[in-house]
Amino acid sequence: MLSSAVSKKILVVDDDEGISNAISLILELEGYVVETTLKGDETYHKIESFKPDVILLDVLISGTDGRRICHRLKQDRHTSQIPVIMISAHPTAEQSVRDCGAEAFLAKPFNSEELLGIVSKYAEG
Amino acid sequence: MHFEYSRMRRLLAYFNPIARLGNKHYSILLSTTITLLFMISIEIYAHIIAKDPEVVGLPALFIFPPLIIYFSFRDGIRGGIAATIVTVIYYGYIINTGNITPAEKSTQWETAFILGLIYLILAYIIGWLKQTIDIHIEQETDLGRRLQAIVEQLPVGVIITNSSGQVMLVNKQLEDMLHIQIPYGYHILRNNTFSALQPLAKTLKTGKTVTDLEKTVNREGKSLTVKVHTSAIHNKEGKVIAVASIIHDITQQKELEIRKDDFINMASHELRSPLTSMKLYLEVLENLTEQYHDKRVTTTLTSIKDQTERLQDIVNDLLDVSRLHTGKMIIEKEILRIDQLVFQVVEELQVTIQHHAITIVRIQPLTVLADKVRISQVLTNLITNAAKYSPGGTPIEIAVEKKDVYVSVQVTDYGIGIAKDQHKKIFDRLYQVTDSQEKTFPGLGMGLYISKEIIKLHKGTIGVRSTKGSGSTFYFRIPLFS
Repeated sequence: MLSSAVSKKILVVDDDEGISNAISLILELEGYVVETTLKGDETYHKIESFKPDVILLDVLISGTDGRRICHRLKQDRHTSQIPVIMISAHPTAEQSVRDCGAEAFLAKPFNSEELLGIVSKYAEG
Repeated sequence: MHFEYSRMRRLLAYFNPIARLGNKHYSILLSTTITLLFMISIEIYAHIIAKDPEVVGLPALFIFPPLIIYFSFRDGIRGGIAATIVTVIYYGYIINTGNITPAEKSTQWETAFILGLIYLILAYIIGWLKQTIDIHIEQETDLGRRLQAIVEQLPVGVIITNSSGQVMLVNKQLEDMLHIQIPYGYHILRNNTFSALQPLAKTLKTGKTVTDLEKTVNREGKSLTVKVHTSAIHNKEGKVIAVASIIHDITQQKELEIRKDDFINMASHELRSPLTSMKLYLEVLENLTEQYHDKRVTTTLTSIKDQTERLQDIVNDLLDVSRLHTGKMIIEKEILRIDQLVFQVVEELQVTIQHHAITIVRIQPLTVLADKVRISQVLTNLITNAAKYSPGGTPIEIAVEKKDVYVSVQVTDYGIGIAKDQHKKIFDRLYQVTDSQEKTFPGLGMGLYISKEIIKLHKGTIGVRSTKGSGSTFYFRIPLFS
């Protein structure tokens, strides 16, 4: 399953270490370069230094709201081009996620296939 | 607490201090003393003021009968008899001291004797009547006091009004609850501003028993949730004479329930995150170990995955229960072919249910307006239950039919069955069949409750036909789409 063709960079923003590690493991095995941050405020720094191709952003991050971060990213012309995939345990959160400008929505629980499918769609595109 | 007796009763109680003192000697002493005092005053009048001993005859005849009657009434038989004896002795004294011939004397003695007898009978009758009334009043007063004591000790608010809505009795609990003073005679229908007292007004108007859950705000501004039972009290002729209302403050209970639901909701959400990552790691592990082609690894991984799946199902059920209880369950209806859905669910389940043959015995193309995911959930629940409760590996039969304007889906098994008295209960929240045989079946008893609520949200019905020992048929009906 290891694929050498992709070396796209993915930033994972999720305060749940378990999920964020699992996501990066799956993505790394697939050949992506992954950075994670558990703190929402660090997102902007990380984007500047890491320059990700896709951002995976959790809706519920302690201390802040993933949708606010997304909104801010979409307002900034430096970051507005980066596709944002939002993750939430609430299947009903999809609409509010679309409203904040995110490109895609991934509902928890998801499996690796779904994750890779959606990430590759935006990383390649 | 206000408990009022009729004016007549209070008047009778006033004339009867002896009954309250409970001193039988006192009643004899008092009547004797008073009667003697009257005699002495008559004698004083005769000897000192009128200076004629003969003058005593007439007043003595007129004064003593009323005295005897009074004492009979006041102190009962004992008082009346004491007064009679004293009176007859006095008559004897008058007769003996008077300047009269022996013939006259004997006539007067006869008269005195007859009079004494009449007085005695009178005293006896009046005294007996009085004592009977006394006992009756005592009993009533006792009953009232007992009732008062009970009502005062009750942990719930109690209010009783007469048929026109005036308060006859109210306990402290109710006054504390609503934070007001309700005076005796307070007119409920005119002054009522508390919704906690609305059922009372309703019963006053209709005479019917009312059980209601009310939200009310007390005088302190605190909002309360109260459970109210109100019923009319009828007299022998069936006329409403009073209305009683029992008001139970369940605010704390409600708050606890809300906190419990919040907790379940939070806990199941918290459980979801580690579950999600566990499943992801498992998939990674599966991919990584694929190359070894080791059967033991595959079996172990499959077992872990199955157990994780089970855990996921429990968490999902918990979430559903919490959603249902807080009214947050969302049903997304679409037009769908129920027969196709049944085929799909059966096909998927047959993969995991290996020991039972799931057969569709009757089916026809039918369209409904329903939530696909939720209806599959109900069907899955019914079929997995059927498998779970038929340990012998007997077949499971599915039937999909049109019944009037409904589509009926039936799941029949030939398993252990359910006793009749449990047919309703099994659909209750967190109810699990608990008899010696079923104890060996694990589960939290959430499935059927969730199924029932989902079917209810589809304006349908769910039920069971079963006999202990020979299997069950679970069915649900939802309206056909037209």
